[in-house]
Amino acid sequence: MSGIRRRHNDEEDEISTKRRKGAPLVTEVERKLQDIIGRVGDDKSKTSIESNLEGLCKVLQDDLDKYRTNIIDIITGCAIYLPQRATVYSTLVGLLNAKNFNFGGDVVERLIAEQQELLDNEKFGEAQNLAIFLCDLGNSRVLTIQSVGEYLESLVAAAFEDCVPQSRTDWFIFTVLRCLPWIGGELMEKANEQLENILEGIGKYLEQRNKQHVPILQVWSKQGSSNEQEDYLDSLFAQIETLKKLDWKEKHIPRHYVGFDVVLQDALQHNLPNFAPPIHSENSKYPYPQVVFRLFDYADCSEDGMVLPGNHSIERFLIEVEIAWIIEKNQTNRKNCAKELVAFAEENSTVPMGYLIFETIFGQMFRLPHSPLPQLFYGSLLLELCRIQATSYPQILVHSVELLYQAADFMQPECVDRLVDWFSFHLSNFQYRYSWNDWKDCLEKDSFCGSVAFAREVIEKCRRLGSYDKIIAAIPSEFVRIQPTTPEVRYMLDDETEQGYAKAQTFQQMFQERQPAEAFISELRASDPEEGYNIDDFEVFVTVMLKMAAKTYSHNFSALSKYQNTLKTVCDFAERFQERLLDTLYSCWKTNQQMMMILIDKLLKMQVLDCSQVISWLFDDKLKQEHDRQWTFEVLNQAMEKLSRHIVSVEKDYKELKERIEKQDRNGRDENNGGDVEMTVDDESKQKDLEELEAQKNKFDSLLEFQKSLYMEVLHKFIQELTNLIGDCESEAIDFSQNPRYRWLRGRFCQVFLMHSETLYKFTTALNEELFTNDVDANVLECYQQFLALRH
Amino acid sequence: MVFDPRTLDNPRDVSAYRDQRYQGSLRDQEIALRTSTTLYVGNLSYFTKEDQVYELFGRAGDVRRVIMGLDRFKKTPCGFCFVEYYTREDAELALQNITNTRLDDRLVRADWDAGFIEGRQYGRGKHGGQVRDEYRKDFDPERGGWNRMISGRAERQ
Repeated sequence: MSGIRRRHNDEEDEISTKRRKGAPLVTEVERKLQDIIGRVGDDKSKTSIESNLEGLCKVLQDDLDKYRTNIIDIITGCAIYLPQRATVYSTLVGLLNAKNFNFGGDVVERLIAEQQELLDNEKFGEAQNLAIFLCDLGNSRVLTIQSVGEYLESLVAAAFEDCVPQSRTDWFIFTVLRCLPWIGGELMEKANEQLENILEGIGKYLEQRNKQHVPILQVWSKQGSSNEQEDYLDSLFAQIETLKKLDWKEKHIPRHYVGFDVVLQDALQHNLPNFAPPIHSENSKYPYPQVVFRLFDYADCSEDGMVLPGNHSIERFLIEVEIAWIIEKNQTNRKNCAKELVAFAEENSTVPMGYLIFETIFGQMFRLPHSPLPQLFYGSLLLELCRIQATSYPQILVHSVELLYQAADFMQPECVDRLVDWFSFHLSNFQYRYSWNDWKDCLEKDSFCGSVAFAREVIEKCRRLGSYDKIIAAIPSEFVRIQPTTPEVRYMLDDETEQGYAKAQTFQQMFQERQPAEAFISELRASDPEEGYNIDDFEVFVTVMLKMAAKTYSHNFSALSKYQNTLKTVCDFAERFQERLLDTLYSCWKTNQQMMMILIDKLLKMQVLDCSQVISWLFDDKLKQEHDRQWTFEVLNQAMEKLSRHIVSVEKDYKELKERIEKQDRNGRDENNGGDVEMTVDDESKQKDLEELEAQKNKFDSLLEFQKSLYMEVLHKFIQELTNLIGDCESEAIDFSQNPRYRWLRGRFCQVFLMHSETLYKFTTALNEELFTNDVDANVLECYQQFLALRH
Repeated sequence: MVFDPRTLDNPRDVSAYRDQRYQGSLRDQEIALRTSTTLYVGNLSYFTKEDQVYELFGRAGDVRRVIMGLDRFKKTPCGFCFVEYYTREDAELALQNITNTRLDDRLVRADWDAGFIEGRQYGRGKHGGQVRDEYRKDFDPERGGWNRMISGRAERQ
């Protein structure tokens, strides 16, 4: 064995020297600066932040000239990426500015340039962090309050721009509202007139604002419930107005500059220039509007005299934002994330912080159209939180699940899906132990109710993560109505009386003899060439193949690739073969939805099946009984998603090639100016490139056209289905809006808009003209209009 | 470029483990580990099945394939597997969030793998399973009980 092992040391040395040479030149000093500046807000246990800052200032003072750019770089990074430490760094800049006026000016200049750059790159969250930081520099006497007020006024003014989408102007207003908790107090004292202008402007803006987007973003569709999900700007404005009534005295922001008042009050100050809005173009993408998510109220968490800040108190918002910052900072490390969240909770012991942490996490998990971070991260973070706070957090988690279950009938199916994925993952880490009996009431409900879907699909996914036996042992026997059936392959052709019996024997024999794919093609060929292949024999062939490969996915995959040619030749002959293939898959594997999904996905990738065939099949009458199940729509949405991803990558290739050719063109022209160049070789390769470009463009265009018609088809199927349901209900004199099946399908319809919003926006013209005309039922059309409003 | 202070606490680098039997230079191995889309997954129960691995690891993204680790002699599962994704990001997400969570009630361990090659699916221990099953000290009913040295001795007696 030792012979195989290589001599480590020599090569390792070589690598490390190379790395040292090749790495970007980060000097020892720079690294040290990064470390001491980047961590000055940590470690509160040993010394106070104030004394840390004092120490840091002394250290930096000596280096301020020599390492000016580096220090400014690092401070800028901290201002962008550590917004939860904004007041620490604004104080630091304040102290440095007090000693060195020019340095302060350089920092401000750099921050403004950086904000412009972030906006140009559509990094709106980071740009917002900088706006808050700039305002806070007013508090630490780096900037005049007057100029900060003017800066905010110019942001408000930008929101009244004409002919731009609301999502753009919303961002300006959102930014101002977020800055006000930091600087409102100072503005009131020193620039009250501007403050009044700002508030008046915001009020005016909000009055005329379109709020059609709100329902499609709400996790729950029920109006008037205790967890009302207000529009985010309305909610924040109400919180700001409450704060104003309290003379801008909030209880959450740690204002470190107060301790340095003596040093800071005499500092020379700079003027912050007005905000320059980024250029708007047709392709600009702005953040989606949001709605506020609330899971708990006072009554849920009144323990040990801790009080949950009310819905319209600014603390509720500030705490949620800070939790979100901690999560964002640690998104690649769930352990650090949980640790920092728990530390944050301990620092704020008068507030039931555990509840707010859970509320924020669930709020992000269910955020529509997309959650800010991957679902899996929230799952592993919640596990970690329960692990390190084992005495209290698991109870909050159970409490949350109870509330979510109770509200599940009104939850959007997209959110039910996310809830199911998370909770099944969670339970599989706790041996599927849960007070399942709490869910008994759903057993009597219609199978299209959200609570039934939640319970049933959690059980199904636990089955997949664990095993059939384990989950059956864990759930009460009453759950028989919704419990999964054994996920085995169904195979009837062993029975001599079955029609396909003889043919099945033949195919079995052929498989055992390892006959090639072509042999099966001949065997399947119909006597009538018009017919192509015998469709019943094809079904038997697929059934036998699936049965023989039933043991594992690997067996299935190798069978599919071995007989790809057979499957593809037959399926290419006529669409009815694809339909029969899908029917056969379903009849063999209907109790194993995971297998169904994986096989359909594989067959799509192998191009044996077409997306459009799969979609027609999913909406066919015979599949309607499965529309209450998650898997049918998972197949649908995944097929659409994968097509989109493929097109995005084709587009990228095309654009890269185009850029390369254009660049060569430019270079060529430059060279030509310089003198004579051999043209022949260049021309030839250029010709080739152009042909390639043409081919790629055609490919891209035809894919886009295909995608458009496919998406239209999906939406059309939904429109038909929903219209029919409305008709059915009306003929039976039932209120369709209360019909569980209608509600569920309507939710699935919205899910398609939300999940594929980016793609669908490309096709709005066609959608307006060809699909969502005034002939469509107003109740169905409403979903589309709400979707459009997201980008208004 | 602006400095990102978040990297101070959460450095993004591969773990210190290196496969000693990697065929190729150390340099190649370093590059492979930093660009790979494959994870090694260990500490599985011998009874954990491929479809469970698909379900769990599929939560992080589209899985290209799963290769179950097998006992070299018996060709039965021996407690590890490779999971290959289509993209590095998906693999990274799985690594960050599935490592040290439970599958079949066992804390699974995941790490970067330089990429599957035929033969890697077999255990490298003397008895055909994984090397760690030769030496481990505890009784682990889901991984064949006592370690292979002890259970081998018992069988001979």
